[in-house]
Amino acid sequence: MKSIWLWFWIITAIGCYAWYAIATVYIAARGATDIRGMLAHLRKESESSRQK
Amino acid sequence: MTNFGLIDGSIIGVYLLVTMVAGVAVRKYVGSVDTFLVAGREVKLYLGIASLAATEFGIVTCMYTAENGYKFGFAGAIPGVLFALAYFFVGWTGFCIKPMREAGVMTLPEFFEKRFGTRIRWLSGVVIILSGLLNMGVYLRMGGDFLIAVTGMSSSGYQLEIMMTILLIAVCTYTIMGGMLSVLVTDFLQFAVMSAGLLIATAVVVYKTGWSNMVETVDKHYGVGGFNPFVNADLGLSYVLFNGLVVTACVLTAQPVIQRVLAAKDVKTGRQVFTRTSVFFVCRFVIPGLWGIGALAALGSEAAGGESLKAMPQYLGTILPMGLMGILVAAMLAADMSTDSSYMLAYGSVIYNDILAPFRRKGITERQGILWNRMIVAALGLFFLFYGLWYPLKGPLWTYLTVTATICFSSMMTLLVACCYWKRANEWGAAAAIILGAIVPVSYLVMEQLPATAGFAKAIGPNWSGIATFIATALAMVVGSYLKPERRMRVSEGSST
Repeated sequence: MKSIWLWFWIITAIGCYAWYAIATVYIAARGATDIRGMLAHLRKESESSRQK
Repeated sequence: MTNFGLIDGSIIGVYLLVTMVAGVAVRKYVGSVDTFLVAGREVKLYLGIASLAATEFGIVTCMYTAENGYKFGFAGAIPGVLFALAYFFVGWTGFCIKPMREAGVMTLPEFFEKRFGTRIRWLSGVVIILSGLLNMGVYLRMGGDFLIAVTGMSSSGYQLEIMMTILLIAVCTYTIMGGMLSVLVTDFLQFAVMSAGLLIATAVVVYKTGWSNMVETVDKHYGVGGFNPFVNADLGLSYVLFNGLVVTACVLTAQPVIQRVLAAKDVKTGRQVFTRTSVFFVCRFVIPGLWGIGALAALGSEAAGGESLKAMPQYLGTILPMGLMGILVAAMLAADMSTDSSYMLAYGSVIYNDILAPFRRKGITERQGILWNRMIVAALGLFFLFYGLWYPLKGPLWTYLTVTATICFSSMMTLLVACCYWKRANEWGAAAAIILGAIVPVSYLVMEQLPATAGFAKAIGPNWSGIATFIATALAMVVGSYLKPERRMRVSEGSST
């Protein structure tokens, strides 16, 4: 029983580390685009509300 | 003696400066209360993931998850697995979050009002705030304890107070100015810095301690229980069940968490934020858990004068070289700042939107609304400063957090599920669930303190007491709802539509 749990934690730990390393780079790149898009949209909205 | 030096201080200084500039720079986009609290509901997927991951990982998280690793071995990371399952299930099915996001509300109590009326909205707001403040109250102290241990600063004098006050002022400044927009932008930066620090520190811990040494240490101290939570003497089935309920309730009802769904561009994005962040929640327990196991292997079970919470930072302070120490401290500051800012904004939104709603005069302008929100965030900052720095914590941190959270989570989860999926649910059931949700855990805490009942409370334990709270609130909802005559139910339904 111990060996099943030990393997579970080994796989979980390695999987977490690998996933986290890859996800950090990917999310950092895509997140920056999201921020630019969000701020551009809010800028447009505030300009159009000022014109009204 | 730790390896903290001038290079580390410079890294931290640059990080703090960049965060402040970015946080304050977006204030010009804040033109309405909606933008201040939920970023105009413009949050896209990857920004949502970064923000949720950064918010849900603070120094306090790192401390209690490392403590779990130190005290229970690998088995102490089981709440992380439960968190991941809960996030994935809720995101995949849209359970509760779909109807909530579709309702276009800003807070959970606002959603409850649609089914249970204004009184339940107000009462829910009060319960969320009381539980949330008790819970978050210890965050600042934990952050300070970590930084003192890891940098080797003296705990005598006022170094901790001064450092944490400066940190809180910085967080309050950008949160007050930019609201959710500042929180999102700084969360994003903090996610990147925090992740880099966590990955580097973990690599150093495993390299210096050795994986096989870590496994042997856990085996030597805890045997099979160090791997299997069900047979661990301090955990067991009740711990797993109780944590399963707490984490599910947290995913569904914690205001800082659901605020990410409510701020999402649409329902689909909100659900994806949950499913794709789910794996992160395993990392959230496993990575600091490894640091805790490393501390156990290097320092033994009586490290830090028997204070299990401080073993991990003390250990990191000795193994990380100069330079990496700065990255780790910057990462931990990033984690703490993102959590503090998001929580202050989330609880501020409940105070403004739900608790103060009956007392606010009608016709309030957007500008006045933003001013109100800013003042509430400032007041919360002051509360955290005084409560957080002076409250002495007793017992394991994770247990304190789950017990204080149960007061709110048990009733709020019952109300939410009933609100979404049970047509017979009404305000009588909701009120009964809220009252029972507070009575059971508070009674347990009182029984623990009284000499006559302390033995009985110990025999029950915090886990079964917590499970009983969840069952009691669900029963209270059913009984209370059926007690209300159907004729009165139809009348109140008619008047609310």
